[in-house]
Amino acid sequence: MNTVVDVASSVLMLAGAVIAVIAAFGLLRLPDVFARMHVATKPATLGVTLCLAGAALRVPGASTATKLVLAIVFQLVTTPAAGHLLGRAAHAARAPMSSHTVIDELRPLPPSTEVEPSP
Amino acid sequence: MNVVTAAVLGLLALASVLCVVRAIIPGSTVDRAIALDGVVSAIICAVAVAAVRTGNSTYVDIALVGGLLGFLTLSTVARYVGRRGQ
Repeated sequence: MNTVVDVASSVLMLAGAVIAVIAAFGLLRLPDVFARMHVATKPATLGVTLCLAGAALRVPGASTATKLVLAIVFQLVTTPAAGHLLGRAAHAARAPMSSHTVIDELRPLPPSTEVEPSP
Repeated sequence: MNVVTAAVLGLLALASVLCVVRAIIPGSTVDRAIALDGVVSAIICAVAVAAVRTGNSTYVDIALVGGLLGFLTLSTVARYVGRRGQ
C-alpha cells in the first residue's frame, strides 16, 4: 500500500515538474504576449495542482495535506482571474499580435457595423 | 524517494532559469510579469516538494503564502499596465 502511494506521488510530482519545464520553453519560443500568457497559466494551474497533490500524498499529518489541498484550490481560483486581468490589460495597452492571430474579439467595432440606437 | 524529489527539484530549477531568461531578454512589461509568475509557481511546487523531502510540514505554509503573493503581484501589474495603455 505504501509503495502504491509512493509511486503515485512520484508520478504526480514529476508530471508537474515536466509541465513547468515545457511551459518555460513555451515562454521562450511563442510569438506574442497572448500566446505566452496562454502557456504561462498552464504550469500555474495544472503544474502546481499535480505537484501539490503529489506532495499531499506524502507529507506527514492530515492537517498538512489539508493545507496543500487549500493551496491547490486557491491556485485554481486565482490563476485564471489573474490571467484574464493581465490579458485585458495587455490588449488595452495595444500589445502587438502575431501574424498567426485568427480573431481578436476585443477589437473596437468599425463604424459601419455599429448597432443603430433605437428611437 | 529522495532520487525522485531531487529530479523534481532539478526540473523546477531548470524551469525557473528559463523563466528568468525570458524576463531578462527584451520584452514588454506583461512578458516579464508572466515570466516572473512562472518562477513563483515553480517556487510553490519546489517548496511543497521540499516539505516531502525533509518531512517538515512548516514548508507547506510557505506554499500557501506564495500562491497569495503571486495573485496579488499579477493583478497589481495588470492594473498598472491597463491604466498606462489608456
